[in-house]
Amino acid sequence: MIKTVSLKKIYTTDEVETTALNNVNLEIREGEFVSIMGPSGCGKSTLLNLLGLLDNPSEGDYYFMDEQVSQYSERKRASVRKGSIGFVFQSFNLIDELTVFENVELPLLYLGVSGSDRKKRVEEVLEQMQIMARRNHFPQQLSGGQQQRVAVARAVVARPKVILADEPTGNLDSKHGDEVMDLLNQLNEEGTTIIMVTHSPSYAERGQRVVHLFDGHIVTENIKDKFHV
Amino acid sequence: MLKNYFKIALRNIARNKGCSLINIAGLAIGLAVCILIMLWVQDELSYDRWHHNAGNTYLMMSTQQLNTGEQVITTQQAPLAPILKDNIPEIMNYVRYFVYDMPISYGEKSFNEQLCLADSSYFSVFTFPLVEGDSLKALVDPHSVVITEQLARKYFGEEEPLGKVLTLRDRVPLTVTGVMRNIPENSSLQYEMVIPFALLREFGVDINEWKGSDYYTYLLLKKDTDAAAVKEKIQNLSSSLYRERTEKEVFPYIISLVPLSTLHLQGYWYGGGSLQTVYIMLAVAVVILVIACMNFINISTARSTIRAKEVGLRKVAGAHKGDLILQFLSEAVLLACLALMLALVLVELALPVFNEIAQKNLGLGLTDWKLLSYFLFLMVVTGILSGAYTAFYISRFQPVKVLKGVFKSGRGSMRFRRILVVAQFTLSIGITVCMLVLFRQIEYVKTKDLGYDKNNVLCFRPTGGVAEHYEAFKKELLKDPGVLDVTSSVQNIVHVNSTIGNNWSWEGRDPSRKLEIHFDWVSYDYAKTMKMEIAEGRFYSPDFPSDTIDGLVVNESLVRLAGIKDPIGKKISYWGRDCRIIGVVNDFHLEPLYETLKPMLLIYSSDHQVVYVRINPDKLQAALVYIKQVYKEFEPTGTFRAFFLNDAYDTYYMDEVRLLTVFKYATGLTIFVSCLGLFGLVAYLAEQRTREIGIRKVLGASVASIIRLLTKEFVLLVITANLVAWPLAYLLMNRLLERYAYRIDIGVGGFILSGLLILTVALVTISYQAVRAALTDPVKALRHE
Repeated sequence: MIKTVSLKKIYTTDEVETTALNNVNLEIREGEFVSIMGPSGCGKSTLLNLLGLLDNPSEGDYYFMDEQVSQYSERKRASVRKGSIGFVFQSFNLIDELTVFENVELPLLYLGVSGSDRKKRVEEVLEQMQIMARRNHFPQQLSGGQQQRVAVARAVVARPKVILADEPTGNLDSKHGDEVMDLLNQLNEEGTTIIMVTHSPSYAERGQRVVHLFDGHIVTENIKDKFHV
Repeated sequence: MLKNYFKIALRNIARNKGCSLINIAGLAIGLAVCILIMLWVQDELSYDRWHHNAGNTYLMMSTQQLNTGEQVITTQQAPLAPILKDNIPEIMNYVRYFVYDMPISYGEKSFNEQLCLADSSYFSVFTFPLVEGDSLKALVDPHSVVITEQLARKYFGEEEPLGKVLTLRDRVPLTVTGVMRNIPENSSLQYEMVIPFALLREFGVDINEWKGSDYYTYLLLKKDTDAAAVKEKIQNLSSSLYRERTEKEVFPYIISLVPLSTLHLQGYWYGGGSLQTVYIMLAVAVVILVIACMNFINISTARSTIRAKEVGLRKVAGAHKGDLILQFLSEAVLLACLALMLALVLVELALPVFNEIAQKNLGLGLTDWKLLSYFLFLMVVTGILSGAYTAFYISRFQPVKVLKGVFKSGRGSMRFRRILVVAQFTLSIGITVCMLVLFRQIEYVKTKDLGYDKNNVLCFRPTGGVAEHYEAFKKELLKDPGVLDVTSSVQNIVHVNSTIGNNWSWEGRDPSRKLEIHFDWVSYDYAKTMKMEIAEGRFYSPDFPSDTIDGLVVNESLVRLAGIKDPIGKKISYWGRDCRIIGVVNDFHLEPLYETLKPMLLIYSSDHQVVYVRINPDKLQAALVYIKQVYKEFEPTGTFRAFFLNDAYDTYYMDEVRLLTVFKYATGLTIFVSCLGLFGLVAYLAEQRTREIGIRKVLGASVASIIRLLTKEFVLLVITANLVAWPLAYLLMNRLLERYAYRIDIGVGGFILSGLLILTVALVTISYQAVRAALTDPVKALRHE
């Protein structure tokens, strides 16, 4: 489903050139739950941005659903993104001016889903995330855990093939963190591919595979099965 | 989708009340000014266009090149029009008329009315519909008269007007044969009483004589006729007619045909507007609206960092760049829509004042769909103009950067904002300079020494008994201690435009030398009443009876230009009359100051068309009562209508005075709107620098140094704006003052004054925010982190 070949990302500022990712080869099958770990600044988020089509690599190839997308324009990337990829961020990133319902509805709006369908699907997913009671609240009126559940709801409402989660538990206490991880596991069991960046080894373990990054390289790629052998 | 955009826009407006208020208020002021000026322009452009034949009716005018300048004549000789019609097939019809003030009475009621004596074709060429009577037959009988509904009510009350008999000058009966609908305000022709030409015969006037060119002549051309070609034919025909009559080779006039629909905006039509004023007004409207839009752009790009996260998230959720552009544009249009509503309220409040300035009776016709669609169009344009830059700018944000939180608005946008601030203040300073220069010019024109004293002189047109017994009337007036002097002339001194052309000669003239001169007929005490100086000799005096036979008074320009040495006693002949110069008066201005001083003759005449009374200003009220009383004694049925000479003089500059008033308001508004934007911008930037200010204060920065830090940049921007505005304003004003033969030096005073004024206002605006930021507790500022 996802395949990168010699993926490279270089950031250039006025004087300094930073290689954030170097020669990353990664393949992720449909239905997998992959955790990405590594120290701060090792390129985890950069990799996630590339995989999520938020950014283009400097070099290398990226195949998303067998389509070579590495040099797509912003416009084309946006088209691929919507409906196929859902995002969950560490800082929730909800729009403060929109209610819970409206935040979750947003991806469906851009997909052009009809009003009645939107209502049905948003309510369904809010129900699923157990946040229905808060549908008319604004993000600032919710706790962190609730906000993250809304963010997850927003990520899954369009029924994407892949969910990219960038430290989804980073800003949450362990109780709320566990709740979010349960949600992700549940989604994975229902067939959604999940790629998650995390600092927490225990949460990483919840995936089927852990990819370790260091200085822009993949250092180990442990398939869980191998551990248990 | 749009619903979602509007929802978030409304919530953003509610959340950022201060900024939204500044944006909406600024735009509302801009829109209100635009709407007011649109109403005004629409009215100006609507003049005379409602005549059915407006498109192919032309006023015939002629221009004469004099060595002292160009002379435009709006009237023609009477026999010309019928000959043109007979010889030029494209001319379908014509109408001639001339205008005269005369007393009209009905029973006990008596008023002075402006009469329009016209061809019977008046009602077929012009569209003045009759509510009673037959427009084709109404002017056939010489003793018929057509009046407006308003006049009918004035004379006859509720009685049936048709068939009633009005009396002209207590002698001539006029039967009402038609009643016109009241004349709309947007008509250049405002004649409420129309009488057939045929009546003139009873006054001994033969209109078939080539004598006196007093007749306004309108030609109705066939549809789709090339007016330029007809004009050419008229020019040729007029030339040959002139040659036949005068045996002179060169026809001195250039004929022009002015479309009825553009008459109002031709500068030389008394009481009319001018195209230049229309353009200036439109420019003012655009400037204010543009400044308001710039505010919007400035504040919204500055605040764009706040919206950056939202933009990033929407992109992540699948929004295309186009979706976001649409979102931010519709947000701006929504704001413009709110501004429009506020603007309509402002317009409604401002209309009474505006109408007084413009001397119009404009209303906000919200039921007029055409006008309404203009407003909506204006609203959308304003929205797009203010929203476009921000929309394109914001939609370019990259989600990766903004979501990471490393996003900062770039240097490019800062530079852009600086350019906008400079542009806004350039426009404000420009308008202020224009206002000050115009103000000084008008003051100069109004107070300039004209060669006579226009103050405290009452003038009026004598009618009936006053005109017939002028000398006795004068004697009676002079009995009052408040009346200092009395005199008369044929043309009002503020605008003497009759010329003798070349039909005169002087003693010692080189035969090849030509000099066109102006003239007026005046009576005794003219120089004294007007407080003119006698440079040589003396003025006409009853003590020298021969003065009225061959005496002549000239002005200094004539003596100088003709090169006459020792003028007293020298011979001058004109129109076959030989005279000798008895006096030379100092030069005086006989036309508005657009024109230079003209050489002229003051010819003695006992034709008293305008009477002037110089009044002692300390006894003004008593004198006015006395004059009115004496007038009644001499002319019991007439109405006394008098005006002061300085007011008559000022009417020539009404257009400029109106323009000045507009500029005064425009200055205030541009400065206000610019500062409104500056206020918002500085407030936002100070808020952004809260942390920096906190750190600086912790490290020992004084309040003064913080204020300096925040104000320095803007002060530099305003100074830059001055440097840009000054040359532009100079060029513009130089151009505007070109029409004056006598004008002020523009000087540097106005520039420095407006620069300082705006710098001060801007400084006050900025300081408020700067002081507030500088006084904030540093601990609070840092906790803000």
